[in-house]
Amino acid sequence: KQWYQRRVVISAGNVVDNFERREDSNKRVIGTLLGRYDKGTVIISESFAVPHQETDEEVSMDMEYANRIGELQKKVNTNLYTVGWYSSGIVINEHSSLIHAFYKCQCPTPVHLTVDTQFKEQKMKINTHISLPIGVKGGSEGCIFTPVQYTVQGSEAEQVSLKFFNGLKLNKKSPNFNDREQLLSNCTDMLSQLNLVLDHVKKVGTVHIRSSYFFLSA
Amino acid sequence: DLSSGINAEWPLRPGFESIQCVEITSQVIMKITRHSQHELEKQLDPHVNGVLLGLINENKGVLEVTHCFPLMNNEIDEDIETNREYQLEMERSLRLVNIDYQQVGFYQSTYLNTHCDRNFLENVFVYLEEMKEAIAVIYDPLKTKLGNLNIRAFKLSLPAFRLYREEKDFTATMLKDNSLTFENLFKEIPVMVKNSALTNVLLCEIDRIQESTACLTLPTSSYLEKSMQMLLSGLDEVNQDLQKINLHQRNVYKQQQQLLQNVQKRKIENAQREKDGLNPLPEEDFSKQFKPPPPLGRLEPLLSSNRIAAHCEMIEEHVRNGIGKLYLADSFMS
Repeated sequence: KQWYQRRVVISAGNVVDNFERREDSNKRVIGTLLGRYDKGTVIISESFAVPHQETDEEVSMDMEYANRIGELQKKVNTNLYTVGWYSSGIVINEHSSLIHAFYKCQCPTPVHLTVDTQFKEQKMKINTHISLPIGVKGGSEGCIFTPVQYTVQGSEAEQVSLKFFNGLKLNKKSPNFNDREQLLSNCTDMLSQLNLVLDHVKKVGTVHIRSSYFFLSA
Repeated sequence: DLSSGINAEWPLRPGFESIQCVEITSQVIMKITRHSQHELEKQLDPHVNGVLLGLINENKGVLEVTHCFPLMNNEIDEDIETNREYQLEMERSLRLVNIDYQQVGFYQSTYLNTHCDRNFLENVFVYLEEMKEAIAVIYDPLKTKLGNLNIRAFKLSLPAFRLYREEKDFTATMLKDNSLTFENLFKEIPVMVKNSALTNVLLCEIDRIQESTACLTLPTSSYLEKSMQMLLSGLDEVNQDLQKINLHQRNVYKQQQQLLQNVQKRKIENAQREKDGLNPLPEEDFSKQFKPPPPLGRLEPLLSSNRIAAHCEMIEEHVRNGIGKLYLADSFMS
């Protein structure tokens, strides 16, 4: 069974925000993921932070807080329920499996989302896992976190917002919410993409290289 | 108590005008769009509202909005209670995870700029009363779907706020005294989007996963049609209001005439009595009998004028951009 997770954007943003505001003593932050199941895929829509403490030897989290806020969120967003949990940092250890066990009580197959805020691989990698039991029955048992595929999806409005934010990454100032400026920036983007395709097509035409599939997200 | 920790004292001028700019994080905008989309999927009614949290940076005159949470629509009475409990609970809980818990305003979604009604005014007023830097953020999902992210921040202007504090409905003399027109009823505050460095990295990561060509859609007639319909109904309201004013003027005039007539009659009677040698009747104060009708409330017409002006602006902008896009498309076709 393949599980895909979608709409990870807001949750990942939450993780980052949470990580920035954490107490200095904690090396990572955790929180609950909310969403719903839809024909074999899990859709993650929202998330919230849960206070927790973690040292090398022990880990503790405020389970009552998680339950209480979970209930509150369910009242306001009526078709969302707990689908898993997130943590910052790419490390998965025994503490993670303990926390995972707590979330197993709340939903059948909790999803574990990690956002690498420490750039272990030179970029902020987002991973999603589910836990599967391994081991010999009666002997040593454990669980393994296997990575699962995810896609980031959103509605038209969310895509437009994301596109708008793209322009902000490189310069600190925010551009105007002016319609024409947004149109201009979108047109220049499209122009650069078209140029790229044109170059490639020319190369294929003249140098007789085997034309590879060139995916251009429209 | 929602106003706990919020400055409630009143040096009106310095605090009120202190916010020059609103900085919103992209996280908050995503949450607002997400909430609006969610409601749309659930019940085809994109009206959402929620609370904004953040902090005030007085040195730079900036209000930073760093977090938000949605509220349910107050359609049933139970919802209002649940909302209140929810707000208190969220406030308490957010403190535990170091999120700014100070309420700095509220957000609301609008449909073709029709948000500007009495309810909205009341809400803005309530938030301003608790905190003089509070703002209302309006998000237009329709315009955003058409390709232009539309987020604006408003608050009541100072004269409007002062007036509303004393009277819940304005009269024409009050408006004139305070030089309040529909143009300076609300003040718009510029909005900037500001992200932390880590969030920028995240955006780079998510980049190019989904592209949107919504901004390149040609101007459709349906959007323009709806806007024109709104404009027409706004004009209808103004027309009705004019008729009411006319009626009112006529009534006032009639009253005054009757008053004068009675005073004249009394004078003539008295003159007659003097001639007959009787005591004159007292000149009663007829003004008590003929009270002029109460002055008309001008708040609703003010709001509808505001709406009409906003519609005109919207249509103008839409058409202006639309013509540009049509020329672009034309150059592709030929």
